[in-house]
Amino acid sequence: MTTLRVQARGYGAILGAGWRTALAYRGALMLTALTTALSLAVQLSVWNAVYDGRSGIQGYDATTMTTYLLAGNLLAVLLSNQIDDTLSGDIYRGDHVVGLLRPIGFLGSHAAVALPYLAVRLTLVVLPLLGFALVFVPLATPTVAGFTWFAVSAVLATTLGILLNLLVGLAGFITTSTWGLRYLKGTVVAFCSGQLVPLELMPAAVRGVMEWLPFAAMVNTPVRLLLGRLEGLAALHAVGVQLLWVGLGLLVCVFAWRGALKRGEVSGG
Amino acid sequence: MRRYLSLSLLLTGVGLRRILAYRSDFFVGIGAFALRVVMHALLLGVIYQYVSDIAGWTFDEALLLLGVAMLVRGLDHAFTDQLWELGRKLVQRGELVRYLVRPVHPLFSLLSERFCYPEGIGEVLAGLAVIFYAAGGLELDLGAGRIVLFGLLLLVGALVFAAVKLLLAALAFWTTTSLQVMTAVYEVADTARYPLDVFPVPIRVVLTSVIPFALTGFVPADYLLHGAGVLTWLAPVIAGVLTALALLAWSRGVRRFEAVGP
Repeated sequence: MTTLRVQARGYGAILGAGWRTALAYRGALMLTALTTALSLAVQLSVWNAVYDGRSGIQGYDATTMTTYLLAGNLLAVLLSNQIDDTLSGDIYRGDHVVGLLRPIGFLGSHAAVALPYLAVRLTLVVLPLLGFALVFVPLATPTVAGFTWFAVSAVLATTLGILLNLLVGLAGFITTSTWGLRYLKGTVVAFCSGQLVPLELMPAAVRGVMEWLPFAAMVNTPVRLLLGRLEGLAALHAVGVQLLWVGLGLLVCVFAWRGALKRGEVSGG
Repeated sequence: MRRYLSLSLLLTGVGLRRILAYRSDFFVGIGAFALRVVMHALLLGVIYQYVSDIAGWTFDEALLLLGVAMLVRGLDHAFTDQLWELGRKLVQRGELVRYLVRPVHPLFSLLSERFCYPEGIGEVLAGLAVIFYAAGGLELDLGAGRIVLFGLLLLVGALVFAAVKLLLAALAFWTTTSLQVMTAVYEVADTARYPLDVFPVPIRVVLTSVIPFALTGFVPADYLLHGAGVLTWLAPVIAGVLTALALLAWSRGVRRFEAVGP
């Protein structure tokens, strides 16, 4: 019971500190919102030109495509949580040793920091942009079922984002510097998640590969659920696959952490 | 001047050895970079599967624009990559002081830590490869004068990239860290590799004057394909003003910077 109370107090303190840290850079976040809006406007203009004089591409009309890109880009804002950077930074400097002395789990504490960080990004970037788009941009209206599926799926997608970043951070035990790996992750997630273009528009062979990768579950799945392109059993199946990836991600993180503890070396003290 | 040149050579060697200390991560980064080139070309291919031209630009022309944008970004990347560290942590942790106490110009001192960065050189080579590939399907009018002016526009583009990066990184002197803004702005650069004619007027204004990424791809590519326009002659002026602003922000920032103890 005492252990539980210590853990709860520890995580509570981490959540509070994370919230204050994330809010400390709110000016930078507001600029991020502006540039995200610009990036989105650029993408929408390109697709607008593509749709000039045609009614649909692979079942996406111009309004559905706009909705897809908006939802995809806003979801991607929540996939960035910086814990790969902080975790690998701890490992690089040997600071993880201090983390091990704390009464709460080292990986858990890093994952917990992501929650207030994401809450601040949701409040200062995603919601204002969504509000603006709802007023000024013609969007497809999702059904209640579509929106409910999306809500569940978006939570699983952000969880996958956290797990992926934990894994990339842990790779610091092998590579020490993780710059290249983080660059690789950024590239793969941007292109393979369906953030920039719906995977249905990709050539069949490429699409086949991408749909088997976990990254599709981070943007393509939730947004297709929102648009009602996956319904009933197909929706259940898609969310089931997401759950599988989350479970697998958790397992891999636990095993990677155990392996890392055996491998990690810290000099000095 | 000679001192700076010999220092540059020496520090390039030191920088390369530092990168190779983390060999596996370095090779992963190179692989990721190659993948990014393929993915960008693929994305363009996916879009052009459904249209024959976008705002009058064919696939080969758009591919040429992509190559030019990569080359320009590579030129900047190869020499100013350390600015990311300025925005990320050097001000936040007070580590910038290390660069201010050396007997050379502080900006040179900072940038010299990553001179001739291999990823940047790789980006230049990949950009050149994409340009040559795209040019194979185009009938370009290539006189000596045109090639020289095209080369100058590439340098102007690289200067724009460097100035935007310096301006955003220097923001950290006031906001403690500016990495998030830098990342977000660079994402705009990635998505802005399309003909300017595609965009509505407000976005064109932003991309030519506020964050003038049009100068880093569209303007040189448009010149090579269609000859000189107003933007060809305006580009050096815009780049000059932006560079002056960035240098001003840097020197003001350095003056207000306070180190954090011994």
